[in-house]
Amino acid sequence: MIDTTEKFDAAATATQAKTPPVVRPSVLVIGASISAGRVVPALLARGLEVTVLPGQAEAKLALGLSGSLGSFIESISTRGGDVPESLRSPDSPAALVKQLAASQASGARFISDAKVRRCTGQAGDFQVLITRPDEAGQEQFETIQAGAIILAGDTFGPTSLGAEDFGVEPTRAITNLPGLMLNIQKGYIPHSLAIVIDLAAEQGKLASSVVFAAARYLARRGCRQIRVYCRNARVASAGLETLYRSARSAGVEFCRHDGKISLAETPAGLIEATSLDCELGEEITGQFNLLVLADLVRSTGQSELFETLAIRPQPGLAGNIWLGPVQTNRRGVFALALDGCDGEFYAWRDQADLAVHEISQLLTCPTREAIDEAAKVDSEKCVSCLTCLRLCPHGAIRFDEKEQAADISQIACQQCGICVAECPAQAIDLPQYTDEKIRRQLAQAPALTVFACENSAIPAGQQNEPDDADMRIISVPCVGKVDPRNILKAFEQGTNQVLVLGCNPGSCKYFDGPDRARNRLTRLREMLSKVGIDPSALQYEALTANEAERFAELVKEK
Amino acid sequence: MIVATQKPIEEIQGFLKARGHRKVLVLGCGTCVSVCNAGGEREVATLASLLRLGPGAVDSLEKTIERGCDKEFYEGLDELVAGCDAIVSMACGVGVQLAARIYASKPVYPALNTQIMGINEGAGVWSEACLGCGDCQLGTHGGVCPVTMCSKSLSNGPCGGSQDGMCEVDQENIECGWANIVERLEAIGQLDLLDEPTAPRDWSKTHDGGPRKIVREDLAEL
Repeated sequence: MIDTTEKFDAAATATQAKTPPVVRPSVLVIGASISAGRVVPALLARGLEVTVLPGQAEAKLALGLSGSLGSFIESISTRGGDVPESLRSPDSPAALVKQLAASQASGARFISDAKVRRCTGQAGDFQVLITRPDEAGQEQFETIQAGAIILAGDTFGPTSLGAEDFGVEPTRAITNLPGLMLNIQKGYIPHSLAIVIDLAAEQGKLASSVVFAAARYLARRGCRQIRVYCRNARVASAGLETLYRSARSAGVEFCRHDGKISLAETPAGLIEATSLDCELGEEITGQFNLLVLADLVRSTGQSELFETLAIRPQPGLAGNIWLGPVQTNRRGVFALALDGCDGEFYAWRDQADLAVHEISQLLTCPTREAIDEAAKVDSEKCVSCLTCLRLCPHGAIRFDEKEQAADISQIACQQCGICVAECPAQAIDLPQYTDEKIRRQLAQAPALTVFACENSAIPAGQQNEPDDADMRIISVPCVGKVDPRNILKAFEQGTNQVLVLGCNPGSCKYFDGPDRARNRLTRLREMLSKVGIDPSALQYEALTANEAERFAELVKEK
Repeated sequence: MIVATQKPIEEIQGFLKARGHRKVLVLGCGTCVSVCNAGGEREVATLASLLRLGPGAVDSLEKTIERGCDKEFYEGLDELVAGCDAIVSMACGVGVQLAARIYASKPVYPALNTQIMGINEGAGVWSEACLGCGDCQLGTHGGVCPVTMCSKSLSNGPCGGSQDGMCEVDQENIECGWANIVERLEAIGQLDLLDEPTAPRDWSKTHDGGPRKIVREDLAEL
């Protein structure tokens, strides 16, 4: 039999090679945290154009969370206090903020008070529509073109709870974490202090570090009573346990609350806090000169920005184990210092450096391999339905006005094949997994046909493949690529059982594959049952790459 | 755009079984129903497969034409159609009827239920936005259609079933069209339009006047 597939692929590659992807050597930095102070000069040094949307006038740059954190650390250390290891940064935060402001002189363009309205395009070629008020207060529109986008925290980063969240009138006696840091900077030492954390959500290492450090610092400098209300003292980070213990020996009290705390202002202007102590099992009340609501919560501004940029709420590893620490689902958009609620201070610097490295790779040398293997649209067949554009988890597809067809970015495409399996006009193909190739594999009909994800089922199967099984394993990049037409084709060829083996929903390299596959299978099973085929002949099972025995069991059962 | 959904497959099979059709052409349309993921090449292939797999193993051929509402696109199908007992059309009702007209001696069965002219809100979601009434009132109603968006197609304001901006027909899911008209007119500073008395609507311009025909003299064939 003559294999024509390779020729077909070569031809596809040749056409594609004529139009190299647009890659703009420019970066848009949204936000102005300490990480931006590190990122912007580094990008400029690599010859990239940089536009910064600091969100506010440059003069106020140091006032955000990371700015006040930087000043706080400096003020502790200049006054002879110990800076805990978890908050130590190799760069001086104040210097980084200055460096960011100074990068204007070296060519970075700053646009203050800008709001991001829309972001179209793909990695290498984004168009970001922003608005900002001119001198007369009129909204001005501007489109910024950028090869990559960095969300650099602060202007949209974590914010703090306020008194109003507890039905208490805002008072000078209640503040938040940045407020506490500012107080320390100004040298204010309250007579008695309560710090409440873990109310909105269990707080991460950053908030814990600041709370412990501030409490210890103030206890050592004459604050008579300091009580920390928390749910769990988070100590799993470099130096945090030492810090916690030394805060206790300096006289800081720790109380566990059950997630609720009621506040009231006394006639004397003190704040009375009442909560149930989980350890003692009884209600405890205390009156304090200053009460700090220390939770850092995600701001609504951040959620809005994520929606505008079509990014899923959880970037980085926390959102998907396959993502790098600074990556988002939308290829070409990076997120730094967003984990203010959970991050460690010194990790911000590493994140900044990683983003610079990834961006320079993305914008300077997209690999040939990625380009050759990206999904391709036959613009003659495309019906402009936008299904692919809407379903692509990586934001890799745009509508090409000139061609009047969908256009898949060769550098943003992650080759999952979700678009291929949904295109109503069969206008998209993935060169390594063409329908032609799959149909050829389906030509002989074994009793069992398995569509197996290369990220889980294929490696699981390779470890322990049953020998004489009457089955055929068809390798797919993701179960999101499994096309109902090919499943039906397998049944038509005489297979008795089709098994789709993919990842667990939360660990799909391409986010949506298992959910897409299962939804399609549900519809298909309904249809099959109506034409008299037992719907149990088509099944989906999730497994991981190391579940060799489970793979063997699954295919044996069938 | 015209939005359609697929009929239950047993209904389609019912047509074929009742008349003992053994070989059919599954005919898709490459325009609206492709765009709304109901009757394009993919769905044609899926339905054809299911018919082959189903009871009676109906032999099914597959074809998708550019646009089912223009007779020219059917040219070249004669041979294919001649070899089949019947056509299962995956076009909207317009395409089904044109196919029935073209193939006078061939049964043509619909595979879709033609639903609405609507907005594609995102992948897999469509909402009705036009009833094709033939006498567009959007210009004086702030771009919100009283005929379509009011469940009762009222011309002179909301009925007593409008509550908190929702319609009594389904208070969870249907907004009151008239509440939206007022809100929108307020937003664009044209609420005064509602002060004008309006004449009773001429419903003869809608389908109520019988099937409509449009002739553009300047364009029509000579």
